[in-house]
Amino acid sequence: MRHLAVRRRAGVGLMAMMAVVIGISACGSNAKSASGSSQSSGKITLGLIGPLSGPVAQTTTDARRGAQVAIDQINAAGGVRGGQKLALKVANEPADPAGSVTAMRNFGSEGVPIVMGDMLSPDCDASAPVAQSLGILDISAGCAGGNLTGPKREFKTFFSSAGSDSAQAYALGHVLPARYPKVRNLYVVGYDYLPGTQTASYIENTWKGKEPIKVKKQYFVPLTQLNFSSIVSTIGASATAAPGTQGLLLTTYGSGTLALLQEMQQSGLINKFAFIAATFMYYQPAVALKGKAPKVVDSYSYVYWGAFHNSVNNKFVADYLKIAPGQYPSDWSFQAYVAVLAAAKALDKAKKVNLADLSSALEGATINGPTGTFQVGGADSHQFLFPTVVGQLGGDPSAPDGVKAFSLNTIPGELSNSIAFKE
Amino acid sequence: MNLLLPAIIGGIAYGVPLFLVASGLTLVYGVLRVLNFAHGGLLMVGAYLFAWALGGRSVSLWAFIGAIVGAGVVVGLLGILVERGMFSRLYGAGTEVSLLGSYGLLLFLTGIAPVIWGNAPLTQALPSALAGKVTIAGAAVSVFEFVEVGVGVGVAIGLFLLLKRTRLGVQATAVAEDREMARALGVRAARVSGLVFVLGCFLAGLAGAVVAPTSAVSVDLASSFILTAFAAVIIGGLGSVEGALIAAVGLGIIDSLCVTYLPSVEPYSFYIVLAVMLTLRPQGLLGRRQALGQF
Amino acid sequence: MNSDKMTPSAPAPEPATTEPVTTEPPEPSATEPPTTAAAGPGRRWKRPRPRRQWQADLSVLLVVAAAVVVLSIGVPYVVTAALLGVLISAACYGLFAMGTNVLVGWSGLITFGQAAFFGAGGYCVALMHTTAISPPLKLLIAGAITAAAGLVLAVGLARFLHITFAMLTLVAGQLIYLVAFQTNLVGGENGIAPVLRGSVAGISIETDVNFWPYAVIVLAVISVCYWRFYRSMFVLRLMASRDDELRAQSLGLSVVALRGVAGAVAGGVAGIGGGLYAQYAGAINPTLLYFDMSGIAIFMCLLGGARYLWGPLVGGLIYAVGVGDFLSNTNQPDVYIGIAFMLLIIVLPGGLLSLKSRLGNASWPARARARKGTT
Repeated sequence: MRHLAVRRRAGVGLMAMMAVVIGISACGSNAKSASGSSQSSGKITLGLIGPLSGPVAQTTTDARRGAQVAIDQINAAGGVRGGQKLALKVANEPADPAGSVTAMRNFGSEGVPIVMGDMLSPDCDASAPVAQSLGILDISAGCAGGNLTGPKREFKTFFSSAGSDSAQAYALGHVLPARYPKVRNLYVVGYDYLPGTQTASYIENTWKGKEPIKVKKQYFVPLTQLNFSSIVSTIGASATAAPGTQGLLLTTYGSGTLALLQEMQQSGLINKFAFIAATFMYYQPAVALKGKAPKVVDSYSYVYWGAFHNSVNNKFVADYLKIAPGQYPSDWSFQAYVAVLAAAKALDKAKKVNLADLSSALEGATINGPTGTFQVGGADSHQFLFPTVVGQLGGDPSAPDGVKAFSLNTIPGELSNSIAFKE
Repeated sequence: MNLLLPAIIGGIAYGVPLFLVASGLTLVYGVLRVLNFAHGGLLMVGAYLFAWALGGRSVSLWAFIGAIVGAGVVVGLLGILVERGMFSRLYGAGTEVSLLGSYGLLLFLTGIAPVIWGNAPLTQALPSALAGKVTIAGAAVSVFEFVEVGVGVGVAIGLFLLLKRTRLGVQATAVAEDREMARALGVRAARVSGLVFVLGCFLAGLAGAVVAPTSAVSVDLASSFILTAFAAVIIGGLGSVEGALIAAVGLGIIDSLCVTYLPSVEPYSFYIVLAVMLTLRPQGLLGRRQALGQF
Repeated sequence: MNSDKMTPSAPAPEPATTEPVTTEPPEPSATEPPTTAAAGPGRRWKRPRPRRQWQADLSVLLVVAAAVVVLSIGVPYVVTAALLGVLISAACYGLFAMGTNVLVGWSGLITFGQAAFFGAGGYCVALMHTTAISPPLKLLIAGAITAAAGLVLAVGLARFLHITFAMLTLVAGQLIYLVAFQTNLVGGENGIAPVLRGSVAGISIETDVNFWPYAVIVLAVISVCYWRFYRSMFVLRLMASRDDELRAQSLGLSVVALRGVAGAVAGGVAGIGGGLYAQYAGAINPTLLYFDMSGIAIFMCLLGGARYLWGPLVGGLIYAVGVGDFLSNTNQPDVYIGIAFMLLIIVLPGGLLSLKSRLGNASWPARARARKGTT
């Protein structure tokens, strides 16, 4: 007769579990018992939390490099607090909410005073309170938003060196009608989630009352969508007005933007629009298109490395190329770079290395960054107030990274960020 | 009305590549009763190989075609490895076991791809001979989309002929019906299974290379196409190649119509069609009932 | 207390084991009403048995309670704070795996939609986090909601082939993920954060050291109920429908009803795990609903052994600690998990808990061939 389940001997199941738990405990206490304060040996560790795998892992790579360049520069100039050197430690930001919190807790137990984390907004929301309760100053190089840095923010000690969606949308809304006065209709293709749908409405809000451009049609697709041929052929059939009067706005990012642009180029849809605008970083997709990238108007904090001609940026780019040959810094690199500059500034200015002192030292600090000198927001906004740059990037086979900036507009940080919190 | 025809044409251009993606999946299931979850991963590997071999820039037409076929061949070879190493041991253990094994393979492939090719997405430009577009009844169809449709139809005809007219096809059908009996009649079931599986992998790699120029090659490719391929396979009927073709084209047209007339419904169109089909006809369009009362 | 002497095939009253089921149906315990199936060969033994069974159960409960007390107080002294957090999440994953195994191991239905229950449980708790409901009650409410959802889903999909069932659960799970992503009410892509933990019986569980006993108790209570449930007639019928659906139907068992209840239990237990997880992490977001999570649930069941009562819990613990601790900083954990998955399927399909009896029993393919031979 068949057995319907396997016969089990006494308590092996329970014993297995106990063995597992005890074994883990034994391993754990041995492995981690030697964690001391990271400030002991004249070295201050800065933490960086970002996804090490998955579709946005490139942002962490870029951020790590940018942070490392800043740390090397600061150490070469003598370090902080009268000679202490900085070091960088990167922790993974796993996809699940508990994982990012664990990373923050690990930094807490290692005595790390400042963490540049996280990169993704749901994880920032989850780990910010933990950072605060552990006494860690949290400067995110990836998240921004009214609830995190605005006047009604929940965590007093959270700062962001990332550009906020609304500031970037405002900048686009400001620049597009001015540069393309003949455009009347706007088509929108984006990802179907809050930043994807919200940025389009922010841009519309900047036109309220004047209505220079009207949104004609919007198409929102799920985040994993890589097959845009339906949308491309539909837009192709319906966008029949004169090319000079039509514009396209993309709120997709990464491979979605790439796939969409490829389809558009192949079906000739690109030529039907006076401009294509994007609310997410276009530099990386443009590089991926190897010199053939179509011209896209992008709004970000550091749209293109070659757009800023000052000594700080020159040194930044040169040092970045040294640690990553052939790769130029992107927005994420920039955001992490200025985050480290700000962290160093706070460490120098603060009386003691604790959260309260560091936080008040950081508020209102002046930073000399690659896009110019800017201030960190004060009590009413913990945003870094660097200017928002609107630039048109396109492919250029003769450029070292295959990309060139064809035009640039700069919106001052205070202006674009003051709009940001009317959400 | 001036939007309807372009929508239908756009839908066909969307659906046939979808069939190409689903063809390997339904072939392998139809003959081997193995639902290869890793099909999406193999597609992704084919796309990566293709884009990496050509380097992203525009190349000659022959190099382009060669790379597409080459990607299929390499993935087919990978299929031999996978079949010998894993699936051949699992044929007798039930379909769930090979499903799980293929899921493990999918995890492995999506994990190893960024390690080999990096985190940034790759793109591949078309050869100049295939650039350009044609306008049919108001719909702008790129020349390459014609090529995709051609390849898809070719594969459909080829599979149909293979299964119905060649010796291998007859043997494969026999093995699908009753493996032990076929073996008793002298069919080398292990060899036939292996060949069919390799063919399925070849199709996966080929499909990956074919969709790569119209998309971006990244790990997302594995999951983004696999869900719609599953929907096409279920709606068409598990194991039926013709059903998958009809279902894929149908889904493509419905999706295109949704984008034109009901854009907010579009992300859910596949799910709605799936739900309707399963309620009305659970075995799919051309599927057979597997056992008494089961679909 | 030693009922081995009663019959050679009687279930031994040992703590936390799977019940061996042999040719005779296991005796229902004293608290379970006699069913028609027990009116058969088991009845002769029914009268003397319940007393002993009750005493056996009580001894098990005492052992479990003692273990709970020891672990609750002892573990925080032995491990680091980070590891304590990982262990708490291990308890959550363990519950998730236990729920999943009701469908995967007990019913033989591979499901890729379990993440929806886990995530939904978490969302339910997160949506209630500002209310004054006590945390355990929040878990129960979340569990009830996900159990209802599981019932509906399982009944709706019960009549499909296993393969189609798997694909449909994948599709359903992804649909729920899409919906959560776009619904502002549940926070859209950002989810809900922070999620306050609250306090139990006046003691705040906001710190991990206080949360740990709470998690251990929840896990223990659910485990005991799980164990008791496993020994019921219902599960026996469920396994019958797993092993031979046609024959089970011919015996008058309603496969749809069985699977429906299995889905409810699976959903409920996974939902409680998800709720506990949300309380621990202090946040919930849609990534918990993505089908990766469902694959992880199946991996945990497989790792421990889907045919063993405690297989999924062991698998869950090992996975949570392995990924939470050892693999946390690797570039591509999927590579290792994928390889482990494939190795498990090929070499050790019975899971880790089968290692001991591996030498005796045949592996899955051989057993399946044997099974086919008897059909």
